[in-house]
Amino acid sequence: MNVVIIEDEHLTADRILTLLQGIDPEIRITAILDSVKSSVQWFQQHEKPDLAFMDIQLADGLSFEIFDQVRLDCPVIFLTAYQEYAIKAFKVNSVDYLLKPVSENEMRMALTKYKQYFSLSQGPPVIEKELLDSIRQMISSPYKSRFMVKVGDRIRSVDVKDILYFFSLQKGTFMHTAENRNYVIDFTLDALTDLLDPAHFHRINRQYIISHSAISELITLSGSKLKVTLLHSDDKEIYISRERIHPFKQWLDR
Amino acid sequence: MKRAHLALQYQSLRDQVRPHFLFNSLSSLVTLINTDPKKATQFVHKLSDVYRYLLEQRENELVPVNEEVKFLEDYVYLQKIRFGENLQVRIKLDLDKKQMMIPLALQMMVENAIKHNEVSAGHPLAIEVISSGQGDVIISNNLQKKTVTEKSPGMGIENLRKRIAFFTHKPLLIEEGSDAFTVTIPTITS
Repeated sequence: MNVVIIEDEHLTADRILTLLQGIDPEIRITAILDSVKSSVQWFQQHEKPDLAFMDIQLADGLSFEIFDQVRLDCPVIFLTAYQEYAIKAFKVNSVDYLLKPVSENEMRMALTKYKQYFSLSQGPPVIEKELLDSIRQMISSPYKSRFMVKVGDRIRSVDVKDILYFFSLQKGTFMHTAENRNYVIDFTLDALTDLLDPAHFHRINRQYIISHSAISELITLSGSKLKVTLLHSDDKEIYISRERIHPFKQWLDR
Repeated sequence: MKRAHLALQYQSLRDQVRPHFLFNSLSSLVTLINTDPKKATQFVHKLSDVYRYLLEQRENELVPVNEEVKFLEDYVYLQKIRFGENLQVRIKLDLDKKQMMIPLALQMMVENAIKHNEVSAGHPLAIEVISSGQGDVIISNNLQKKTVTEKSPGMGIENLRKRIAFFTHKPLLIEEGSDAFTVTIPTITS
């Protein structure tokens, strides 16, 4: 089995190499590459390997850029130090990834998973361009641009531009789209506060994060409270408390 | 005023605790334990020093420049283990011991240089930390920008600028030329 390691830190590359050789002496490491540029060159000149290990952050950019420049149809196991949100996307698509520092046990499991694909007719998964683009976006931009949601056994990707508001209900978090649909999502409202662009979304109370376009009506109540009516919402009891009114008005105004 | 300053300190602390750095360091450490146990021991001590300093500086508004330099040297030691000869750092400061500065400012600038530039055998990154004629600190590096970098809301420099403004009228100077990036961080006389 021919394996390529793409990792810019030599000690971690050595670790992967030692682990692989210890687990399966049949494994031949055909190249260790440290940048997008050298990887593209290598893939243009050589036959595709059976498997590639790929760090996400490389010396000169993100490893996803390799896919833009060469056709890479070998299975990939990603290596990552810490990208919790990006990692979720890999899980959805059942492409494997390993967290650094890589343990022998996890490496064994990843290789077993890889080999199991060969006993199935379809072979190991090849990474889809769309998934890569969405992960790349997540890593290179500070705010989320889309959410992956499950609809039955299908995965849909929803653009944040199409989201009216997020709300929590009975320990679950939901998002409501302009098409008047609700989806369950994996994030808490607190986590969302950091992930969403504050120019477009605002936390109005413990239960809601809303976008400008979600507001259908605002009513001033006595006791300096504000009542909000949201589009497509049956909830008639959405209030903004006194201490949140000032930041809310500032957000509305900009 | 005090409250605004605390908020800035808190924000900068959040930016400072970089999970990437920790896990990448641990990943290098696992290899060292097997290949060079002596170096591994040294690495653990430096990593502890770096994290202890990060935590200790939580409450401080200003620190003596020489403490910052010691911290920067430890941090650079760890990065050099990870990047080897691909990272070149020269620290040559000649400053008055009584000079103070905003904690973690030097390390943040070095970290930014590593984050935004290519660090490879073909293109080593060279960082230089020297003192200016006015007793401030100048950090410069050759520019070889990565095409895409990991996420960064760009808060770090803005935050530092505001924190400096609490103590001195000297500005944080940033110059980006065609092949070099230079930052001048003002020091404060206690």
